[in-house]
Amino acid sequence: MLAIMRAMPSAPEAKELLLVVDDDDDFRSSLGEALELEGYLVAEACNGAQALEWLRENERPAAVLLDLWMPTMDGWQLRLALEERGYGDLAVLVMTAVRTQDPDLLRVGQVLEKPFTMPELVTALRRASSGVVRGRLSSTRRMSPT
Amino acid sequence: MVVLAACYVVAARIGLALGAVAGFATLVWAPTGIALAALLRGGRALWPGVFAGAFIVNAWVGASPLVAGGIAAGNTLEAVLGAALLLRLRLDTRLERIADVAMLLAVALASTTVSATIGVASLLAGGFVKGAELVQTWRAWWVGDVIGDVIVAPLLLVWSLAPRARLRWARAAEGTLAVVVSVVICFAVFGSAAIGVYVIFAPLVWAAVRLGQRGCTLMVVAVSVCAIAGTSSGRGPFVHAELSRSLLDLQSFMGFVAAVTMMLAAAITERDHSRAVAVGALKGRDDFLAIASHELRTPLSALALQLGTMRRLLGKGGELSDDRLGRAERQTDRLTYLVTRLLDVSRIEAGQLRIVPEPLDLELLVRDVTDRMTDEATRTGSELRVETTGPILGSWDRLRLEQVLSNLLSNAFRHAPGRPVDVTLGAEPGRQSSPTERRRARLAVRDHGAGVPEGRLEELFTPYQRGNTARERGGLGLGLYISRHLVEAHGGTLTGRSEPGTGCEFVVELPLDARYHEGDA
Repeated sequence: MLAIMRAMPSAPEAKELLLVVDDDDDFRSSLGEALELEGYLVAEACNGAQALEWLRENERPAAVLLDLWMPTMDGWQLRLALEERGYGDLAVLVMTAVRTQDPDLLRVGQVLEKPFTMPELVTALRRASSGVVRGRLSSTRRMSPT
Repeated sequence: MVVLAACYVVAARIGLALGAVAGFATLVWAPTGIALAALLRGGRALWPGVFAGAFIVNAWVGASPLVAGGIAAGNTLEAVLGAALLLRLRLDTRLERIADVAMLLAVALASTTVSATIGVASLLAGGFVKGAELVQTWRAWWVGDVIGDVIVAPLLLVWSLAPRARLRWARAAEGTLAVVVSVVICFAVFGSAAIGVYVIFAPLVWAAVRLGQRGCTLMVVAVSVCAIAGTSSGRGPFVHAELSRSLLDLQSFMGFVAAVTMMLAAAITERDHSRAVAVGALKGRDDFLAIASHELRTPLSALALQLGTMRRLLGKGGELSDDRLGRAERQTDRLTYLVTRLLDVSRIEAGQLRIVPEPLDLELLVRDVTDRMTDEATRTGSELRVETTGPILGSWDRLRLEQVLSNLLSNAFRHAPGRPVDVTLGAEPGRQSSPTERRRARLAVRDHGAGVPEGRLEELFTPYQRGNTARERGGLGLGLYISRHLVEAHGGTLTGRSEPGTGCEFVVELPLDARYHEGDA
């Protein structure tokens, strides 16, 4: 399945483009819809590999919303791949269903625990895309969700 | 066998050199321990080695062939009996459990009476002892053999096993230091009467706490050698005017030192082991909670987002589409499913899993479930192939059997997407070798995926385990565990078979009720 662009902008002002990367179809589409109602333009990918492919072929999004536990290429792997391919300064918002103490992950920037409310998400997105918190992952990849 | 006989002879000559009663019974009869350890390690077929060694030694010190043969028979019988008893009691020769040490001590006390009795009887027959010395000789013989079993056998058993972990320098240095300290203390204790013998327990407790059974057995031997050397040179707390009392005191000391130290080491190792098991179990539970939390939070997040979207849409005067409501419904179904599985596990663990049987046709049940799961098969690109031989009637819990089949099918779709899944149902005859065994219904679900390595298949039936990591496949990893319990509650079995590269087959077998199948072949 290829990443899909959910909707074309209909409002007159330029909308911010977001890339949602999550393997759960229902969650991804629900999040996409909710973000559109907030005025964002949303693209979806169901794993890290698909997200990289989308990034190669499309314009740079304002932020990437990233799940951690995914098949094919998980969130940790994608974060490293982004750095390697020159997307290191791309705003990344990690959405995780597992409480995490991973220092590498916390340094990335915004971490949002599922379930979250839309106001929480929007605030976190603003912080992430304004570059208030930005960090780099070390090369050590963490596998365990501790 | 020759090596065993040679060791036996050498150890016996050393023992005899240290002092013997009536020329045959010694302070410590190390060969008893050597024979027991050899038979436990190398098998009871080594007994001729024990016999040959014992015969040579006794003939050497002047026994007639008949007397030497009698004594050798007693020594051999003692070792064979001891080894047989310990094997029967399933002794773990690492001696890391209190039960193993207790077993060894009890068998040492019991089996050695055989040798003492036959040996002393042989001496009596040969005219080496007189009636008055009989009891004293028997006691010296028995205690000497017991001490051999208690001090020498553990040393050989424990040290002949490969160590669990590679010996670290720090540990080796600590062990050497402990032995040196104990020898120094022994010299002090047996060199002057000023220091109480109980001081020796200090390094022994150190060994038990820090060095495990390997360190302990070595220390016990070191302390015993020092004690024998001191006492035989006429020094130390065990020297009395009466030689037999000196011997008995020394032997009791060595026996208790060995028993107490090994018991303590076993207790400490057992405690450490239990702690490691408990920590492992907690880690498994923690991992499971992380997975369960992930699995529950994902649909909950989707549901929360959908409800938020619906509120906003309704607020703008919009309408809720069927599709939107359907998706929200799907999330609640998912949550219900997960919570039900968690409840199933707690019911199983509390022993409260109940089944509600009703008359039903297994073939219809299989058709129903496979029909219902066609959509899921299509989504994962799996062709669902069903083969049944006809109606199979019985009394089972419909919902629970549906749950088992759905679980097996979901697993197959998830772990082998894009590959066909075969479901076969048929009746199997009872085994001919067991005429009482009833006919069984056999329901098999086979995928054509990557399979599971042989050793790991059974792990899938253990709660909180899974063939692939959670983030790759999803799910709680409880399905097979629950399914097996459900099938077993019906008196049946659920087994798995797999070879890497050829997929997995899971087979449910349910006993058939004769009432429904009287006319069947």
